[in-house]
Amino acid sequence: MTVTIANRYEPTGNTDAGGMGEILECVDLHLKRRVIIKRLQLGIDERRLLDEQKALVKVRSKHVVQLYDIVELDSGKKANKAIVLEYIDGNNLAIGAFAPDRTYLGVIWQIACGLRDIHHAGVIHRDIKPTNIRLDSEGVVKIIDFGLARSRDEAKTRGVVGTPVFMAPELWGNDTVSFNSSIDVYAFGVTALALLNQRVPAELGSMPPKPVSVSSLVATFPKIPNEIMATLVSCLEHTPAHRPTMAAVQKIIERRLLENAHRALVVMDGKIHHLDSKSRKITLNAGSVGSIAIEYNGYEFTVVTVSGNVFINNTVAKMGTSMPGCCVITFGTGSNRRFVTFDVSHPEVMP
Amino acid sequence: MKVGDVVSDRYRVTGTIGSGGMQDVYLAEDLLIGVDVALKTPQPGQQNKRFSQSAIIAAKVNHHNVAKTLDYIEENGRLFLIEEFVPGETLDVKLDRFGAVDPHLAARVFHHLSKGVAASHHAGVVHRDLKPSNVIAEPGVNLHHLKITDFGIATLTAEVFADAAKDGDLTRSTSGTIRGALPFMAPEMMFRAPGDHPGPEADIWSLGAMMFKVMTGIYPFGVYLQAAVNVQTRNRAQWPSFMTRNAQYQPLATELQSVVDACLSYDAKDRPTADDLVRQISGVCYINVHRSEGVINNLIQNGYSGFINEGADPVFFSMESVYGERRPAIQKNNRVCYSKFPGSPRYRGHPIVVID
Repeated sequence: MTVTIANRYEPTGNTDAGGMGEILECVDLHLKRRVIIKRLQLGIDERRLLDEQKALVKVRSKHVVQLYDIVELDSGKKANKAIVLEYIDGNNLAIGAFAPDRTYLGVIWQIACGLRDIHHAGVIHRDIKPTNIRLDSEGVVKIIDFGLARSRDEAKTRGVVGTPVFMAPELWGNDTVSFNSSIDVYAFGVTALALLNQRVPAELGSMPPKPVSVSSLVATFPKIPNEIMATLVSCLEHTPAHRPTMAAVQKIIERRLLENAHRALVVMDGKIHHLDSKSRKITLNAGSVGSIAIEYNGYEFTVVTVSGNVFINNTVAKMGTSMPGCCVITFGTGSNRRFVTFDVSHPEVMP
Repeated sequence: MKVGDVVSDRYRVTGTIGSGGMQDVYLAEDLLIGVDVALKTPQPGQQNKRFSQSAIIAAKVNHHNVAKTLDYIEENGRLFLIEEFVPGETLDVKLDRFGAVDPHLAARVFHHLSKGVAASHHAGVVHRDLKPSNVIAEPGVNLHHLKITDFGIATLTAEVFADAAKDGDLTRSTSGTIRGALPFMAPEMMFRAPGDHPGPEADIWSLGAMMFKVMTGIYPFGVYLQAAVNVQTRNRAQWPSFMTRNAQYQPLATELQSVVDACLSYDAKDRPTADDLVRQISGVCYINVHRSEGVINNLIQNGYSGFINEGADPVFFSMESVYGERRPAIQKNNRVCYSKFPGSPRYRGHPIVVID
C-alpha cells in the first residue's frame, strides 16, 4: 500500500538501494512529474540541513539540485521532516568510468564549477564522491546528497564501513578537530582521480590516507596534463590551508579546455588575418618604422620578436609580452602612425 | 491579487511583475524556503484546464536556460503556477536600450538560447511563442543568465490561434496575442490549416527571427500584420551594412548571419535542429568579457576617439570599435556598453555599443 505524502506526492516504489529507505522517488500529482523525497534524520542537524538547503537555493547554481518543498513524513512515533527535490534524469558518476580525455576534463570542470558555487553559498558538501555526482541527460553535472544528516562523527563511522578514501586526513583526527570547505577540495582531488580508469595509488586508500608522491601520481596517470595533475596534487595536500579554492581549480581546468581553441583577428590596412591553432604565427611589418611577430602557444598570443617603434595599447611592445584580449598595435610615434587591431576570442565553455 | 495575499499558506504576493495576454504575473515570497518566486495566475475568462495543462508542459523542461517551474496550486477555485523568479529584464526591454547588439554579445545570447531550446525539444516540448519578451536576462548590459520563460503558453494561446485559423486567415485576427507573436512566428504557424500542429522547427524560425532583431535592431519581417504579409511574400529585411562594414566585426557577423539565414528557411525541413545549432554555435569564437555601462564625456582627435567616464580611471576608445548605426557623442548617444582591456595610460574599450 502506498501512502500519498502531503496530499500530492505518490511513491513510485523506486527507492535508492544505498539510501536505506531515506530516499523515495515519487510523482508530484500537481505537475505530473517525478520528484525525489529525502528524509532528514532526526536530531540537531535538521535545522542546519534545512538552512543549508535554503542557502543553496539562493545561489541558483545549475549544478545544484532544485529544492521544491519541505514536507512532514509520518514515521510511526514522530513526524519527520523531508525535502522534496527535483528528479534528475541521468546517471551517477562511477569510479573508473572515464578515460583521461577531453570529456573527462569537461566533467571535472563542471564538478569544480558546482563546488565553487556551493562554497560561495557558505555550504560545505561533506561527502563528495563519484556516486554523489550525477550527469543529467543534457550533460550537466549535478551535485547531489548534500551532507544529509552526516555530522562529522557519522561521516567517520560511515567512512570506515564505506568510502574512507574521499575523506580528508584531518577528518580522521580526534573529535574536536574542526574542518572547513577544504575537505570538499580534498574529496574533489580524490574523486577526480577515482573517475579515471586506473587504480589510484595505495597511499590514498590507506586509513587514514598517507601523503602521495607526485611522481607516483604522474606515473599512474601519464595522460593527465601536467598543470591539471599539479592542481589535483595540491587538492590532496594534507595541510588544509595549502589546498586551492575550487574557484582556482575551475579556472585552471577551463584554461586547459580552451587549449588551441582561441582565435585572434588581426586587421591591418583593412585586411583581415586570423591566428589560431592552424596558423599560429604572424609577422607584421610597417616598413622601416618597425615590425612585430606574434605567436599562439595554445593558450595565449605572445610577442616573439619586435623591432623599431611598436606599441601595444600604447605600451612599448617587448618580447614575451602577452597580448591583452583586445588591443591596438601602433607602429611609429608621429603623425604617420599605423594602427593594427588585434582581438582575441574563444568559444564559451559551457556544460 | 494584491500585495499581502498569501497562496497555499506559502507564497506571499509582494508586487506585480506584469501581465501577458493570458495571465497575470506577480512577484511573491516563498515563505517556506525564503526566496522570491514568480506567481502566475490566469486572467478571468481563461480556461482552467488549459492553464493546468500549460503548467504540466512547462514542468517537463529542466534546464538552466529555462525558468524552472516550481509549483502548481489550485486553491478556492483559483489556479497558480509558481516559477523561478529571474531578477532582470526581458530581452525586448534590453533590445530597446541597445538598438543593435554587437556580434560578440549576440553570439552569447544565441548560444544560451539554443541550449535552452535544445533541452526543451529533448523533453518533447515545443515553445511555439518564442519572442524577446519571453526571455529574461540579468539586470544590466551583460545579457548573462538568459532564461526562456512561458513554456506551455502555447497551450493557453492554442484556442485563440485555432479560432483564428478557422476563419481561414490567422493574419486577419485582431487578437493582441496573435499580433504580438507575428513578428517572430514561423510561416507554418501563421498559415496553418485547422488541425495542423507545427513542430520544433517553428521554434528554430522564432529563434532566428529573434537573433535577427538582436543583431540588427530590425524586425526581419516588420511588425503586426505586415509581418505576415512579408513572410508570405518572402520579403525579408536585408542584413544592414553596418554589421559588416567594420573589418573587426565582419567575420563573426557573417558567420552568425549564415546561421540565422538557415533558421529563417521558409521550408521548415531546411532549418537546422536545435542540436545542430548548439553544435555550430558552441564552436564559435566570441569576445566573452564582462560588459560595463558608461557615459562618454570627452572626445579627442576630431571625434576619432574619446573617453568613457569611470571617475579617476577613464577608458579610452576609438570610433573604429563602435558597432551599430548610432555613433557616440557628448550630448546625445553618450551612453555606451563596453568591455575594457589593459593599456597605457588608460584602459582601452572594445567593443563599443551606444545604448539608451
